[in-house]
Amino acid sequence: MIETAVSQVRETLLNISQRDEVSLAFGGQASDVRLLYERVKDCPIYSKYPWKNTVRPEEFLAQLPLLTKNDLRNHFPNGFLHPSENFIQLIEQKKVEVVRTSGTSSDRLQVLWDTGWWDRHEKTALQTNSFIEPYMSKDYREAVLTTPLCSDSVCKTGPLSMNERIVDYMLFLNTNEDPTRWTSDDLERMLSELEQFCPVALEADPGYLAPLARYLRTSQRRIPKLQWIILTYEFVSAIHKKLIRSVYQCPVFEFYGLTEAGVFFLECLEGGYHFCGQDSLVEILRPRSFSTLPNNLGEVVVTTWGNRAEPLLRYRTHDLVVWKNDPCACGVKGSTLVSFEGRIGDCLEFPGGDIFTPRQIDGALKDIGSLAQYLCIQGQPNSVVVEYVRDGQTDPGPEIEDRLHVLWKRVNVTAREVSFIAPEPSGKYRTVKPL
Amino acid sequence: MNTKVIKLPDIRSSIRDEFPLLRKRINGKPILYLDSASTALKPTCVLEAIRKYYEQETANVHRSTHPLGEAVTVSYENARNRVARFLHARPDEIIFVRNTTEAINLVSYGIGLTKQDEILITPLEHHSNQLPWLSRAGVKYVPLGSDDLPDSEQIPFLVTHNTRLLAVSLLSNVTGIQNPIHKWVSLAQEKKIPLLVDAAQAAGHMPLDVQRLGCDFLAFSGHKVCGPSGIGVLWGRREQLAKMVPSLLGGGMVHESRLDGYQIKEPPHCFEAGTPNIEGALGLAAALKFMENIGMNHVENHSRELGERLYDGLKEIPNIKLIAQEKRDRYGIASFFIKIPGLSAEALGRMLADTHGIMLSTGMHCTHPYHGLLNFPATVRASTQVYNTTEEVETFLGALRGIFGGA
Repeated sequence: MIETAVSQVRETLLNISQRDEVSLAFGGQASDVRLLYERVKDCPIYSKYPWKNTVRPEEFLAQLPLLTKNDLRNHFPNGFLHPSENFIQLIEQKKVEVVRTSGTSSDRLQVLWDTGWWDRHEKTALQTNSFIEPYMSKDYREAVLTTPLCSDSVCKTGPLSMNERIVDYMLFLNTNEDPTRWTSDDLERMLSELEQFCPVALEADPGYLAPLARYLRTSQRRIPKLQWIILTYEFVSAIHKKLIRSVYQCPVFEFYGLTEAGVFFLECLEGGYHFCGQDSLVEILRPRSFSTLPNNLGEVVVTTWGNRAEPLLRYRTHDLVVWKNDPCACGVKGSTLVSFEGRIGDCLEFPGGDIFTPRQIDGALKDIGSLAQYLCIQGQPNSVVVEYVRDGQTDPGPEIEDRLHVLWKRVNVTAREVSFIAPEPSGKYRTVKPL
Repeated sequence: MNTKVIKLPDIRSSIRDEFPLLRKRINGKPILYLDSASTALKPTCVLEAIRKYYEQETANVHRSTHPLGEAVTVSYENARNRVARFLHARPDEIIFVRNTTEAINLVSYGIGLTKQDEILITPLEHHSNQLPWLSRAGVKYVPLGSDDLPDSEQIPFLVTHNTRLLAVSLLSNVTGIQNPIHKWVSLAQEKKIPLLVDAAQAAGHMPLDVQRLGCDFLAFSGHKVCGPSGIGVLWGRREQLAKMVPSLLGGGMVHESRLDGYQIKEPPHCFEAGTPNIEGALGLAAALKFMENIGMNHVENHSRELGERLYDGLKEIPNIKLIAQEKRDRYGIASFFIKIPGLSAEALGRMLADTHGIMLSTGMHCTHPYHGLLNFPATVRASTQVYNTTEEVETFLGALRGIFGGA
């Protein structure tokens, strides 16, 4: 019975349907509706949709079912192409490319991009940030720090040289799996390459940049100059963001997007997250009957038509966000996202129906100075073990337990120090593992 | 434990029922497993054998005088006997190792090679039958013919007075084609040079008889004959094993150890230092019994039937190139290259897995030299076992036609 009660709220979130309330929408104009309809009406996956003529994009979309990862898998690649188009011909003509999303093997997808689409799309999105925009010239160079750049073959043929890791204007820094396997040679090599390549910006997975930042903080090494840092690829813990800001002394912006759909929200200098998508519309959905979470929290559902190879209608991201209706201090009017709360599947739920997002948990721990990294593991419905890595001399364990007791009240919390926390098989780090 | 003999007409459904993994679904789709050349699925009897060891027979072998130890020692040596029977060999010629790789390395070390010695192999060999030789001796390769297969007519011309050993795979893990082993055996016997047969793939697809084969060493891995991982077999003729030096020294392989020396046991025990993979050996014995109950001739016929269907289907699909285009001596393994730049083997493999639940291998399958000679950066390999059906092969071919076209 306890397990049933525990799963009820998360199940409600996971079973959000087309009839649930659209609390907010970003992007999309009335004229886009006609464009969208013309683009997708003949795609096999959408050909049986209940199309009705309406004026407002949100109303138009609200009648349509939600799309899931399994839908993308089951209909790849021909389901999204016009019947007159042939996947093999498009590949031969280099009009499309097959791209793989990150994530574990059960989450991973293959998607089709119009050749060159992502690059154009991402650069346009970055230019919506008034700080970044002046730097986006034809000399723009960027370094990327995430899981290693792999050749397209399963057989690994050895680490790639720096030149082999430069693709167009980007240098991919990492060659050695995840940070738990990095040596000081790896760290020094990456920093030297940053100095050699002189990128304007660094786009990084926060779980990978934080160890590099920690190394820089303790070494006497000169810090490579960057105009800004973009944090993306996974949930950004405030602990990592604070460390990275303090070490690199440059603006740090969170950037939200999905390989299969595009980029949608970019942080401004005032900490608001503004819509930066093109040819897309984002809905924030929450169940009508929902009561245990704030009213301004919901799931991101995206509709995109800019990538002609794989237009997506009401694609569920399973990512939760919080918004506000007040204008942002940067001057952008209208609604603004306040935070990325984490994935639905990473929410912790306790007996009685209390549910906590990864962001809420991170918020409780973010000010613990000697905490480098943590992972909350819910072993029993009412019991959580928090594995943590300390940063410095002070043991943050007792403070972790105290703060989470205040947040969760009647939950058993045990903090356990570990020497490292490994990423998931996908290379991404989690902060919460629910039951 | 399942001991019934499975008749050929029932081969498909009753055999598939014995493999629990085939009931699993991924993303709602049933699994179509075409990656048995990487590792084969395990039948219930193998799982039961391992579980039984842990639940009822846990003890060490050859070391204990209590009932549990004696019982498991008997089971372990019975497993050795089972392997010996499977190969038509003597039990004292059967050495338990971790896998084919370790078996070949054991021979490579044991026969005492120098850089002046030459080993004759083919460029199709798995790294495990290439690197142990390359690291210790000179290696000569039988050149490829116009059919992209080793030109067996050239074999005799490559033997010199420095040739210490011939080593060849019985069944290629890339092409699924059986090597003309009789030519290798004839040459080996004529020149009185030992012959090692890598039977890693062959053991799960055909009956093996080391007496009829006429080789001097044979190696195979348990996990490719539906047994557990971490267990393999090296068979060697007694007179060959007697000349070999063990590569691992330690407990269990000496009659006596003193402060100033030691006296090692006779084969096979001198090659089995330390506590062995007991549960692996027991699981392997259960797997071999399972395969023998089906009948290795049936296993072979089934493999050849599926291999023929793979060949007939793949060669008609546009935009791919089957490796080794000729139809001969094919078993249930086939690899192909994608002729479309922009669509990688890996992308296709993931597409087949994600959309159709088809599991297979992409890459170079530990045969970098062969892929280099063919100038293929990577290939896609489908490989079958006793639990696969002709319908599954047709489903696979249908999925490819859906992507590449073709009737």
